[in-house]
Amino acid sequence: MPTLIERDARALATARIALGTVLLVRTTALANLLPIPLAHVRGPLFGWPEPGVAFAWAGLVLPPSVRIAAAVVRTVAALAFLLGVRARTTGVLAGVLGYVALSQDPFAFVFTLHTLFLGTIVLAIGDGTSARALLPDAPVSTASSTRLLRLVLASIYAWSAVAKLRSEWLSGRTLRALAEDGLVTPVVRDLLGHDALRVGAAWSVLVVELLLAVVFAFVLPRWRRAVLATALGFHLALEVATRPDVMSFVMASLVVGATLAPRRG
Amino acid sequence: MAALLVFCLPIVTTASGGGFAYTMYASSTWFRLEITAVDGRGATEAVAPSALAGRVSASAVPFLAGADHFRRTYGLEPLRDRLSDVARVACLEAPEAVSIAITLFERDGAQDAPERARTERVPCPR
Repeated sequence: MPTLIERDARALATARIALGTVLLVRTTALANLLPIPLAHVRGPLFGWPEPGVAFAWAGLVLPPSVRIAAAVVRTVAALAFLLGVRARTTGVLAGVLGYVALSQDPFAFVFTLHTLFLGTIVLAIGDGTSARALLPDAPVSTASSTRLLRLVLASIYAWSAVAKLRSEWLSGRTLRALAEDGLVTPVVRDLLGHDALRVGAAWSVLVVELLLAVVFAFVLPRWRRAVLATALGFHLALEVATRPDVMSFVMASLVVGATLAPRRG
Repeated sequence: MAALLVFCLPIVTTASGGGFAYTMYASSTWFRLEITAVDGRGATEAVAPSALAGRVSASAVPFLAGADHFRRTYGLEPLRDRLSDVARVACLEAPEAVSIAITLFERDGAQDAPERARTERVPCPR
């Protein structure tokens, strides 16, 4: 019978496989097959050179050949991360090269990609690479790996909630703007036309994010299933409401790694 | 490692106007751009932001096309941080210019919110 530590390592590995799949799809032209307008990749791979001035971070513009090589290496590394082939090294490499691609085109920065690359690195340096892998790494500390992932999740929810602590969000004006700009699905746009529903939705998102931040930071182990259900339900609702790139899939992958404890035996 | 990822990076980049602190669509900003080319005799000429759209990467186009008039966005950090770089692109559009002045006008949230403006000036290579 697997111990709790072994089950946590398997949960981290499950998250690695899920996030690795998202990484591979979202950073290649496969993303263009998704029915998600914001998840669009120009060229065969994310980071492929394009015409026009791109305003690289700190003016450090890489030659097109280097950008192409980095995109190809990142994709191979992402596949190895997904399959568990020395995933500690290949995951860190894929995540870092993802940031290299972002650095070349800061106007393309979106939190989905930031979270995707950061999550890949976090899972890669943990024990998610030591289970369900073709070429597993030696485990280091499963408890520490899980704790780091939970803290990162708490951070994401907390910063997101802090950003909403302003009258524009709490009064529902931001949601009305999103609806006016067509950034929510038609059904939700109609619902957001009602003042009370709009304010209620804004406060509900804030409360759930604050709750998840606290739970992931402090009290998760006792409430795994409830937290898993709450977080997945929250992201499912956001997915239905706004189709926020592949953010829901990224967060769901990380949440599974932090909460899922496979059944005994 | 956890402290770096969880606290330091978002705080530092937020304080410096960057965007690693997960502000995802929490607020909106109305913005427009004014770009002015100054030639060697001191004469000024307006450069339309939309005219620069063909010279920049596809991801930067939404920040320039139509920016002659106020429009709404949910993350203006890339433009705020690179006004000077955009001005240098404007040099290409105004070959007689010796310098470019670019002003970013912003309003938080509502159309009638107070307006802020920031101007950058860059010399054009001759």
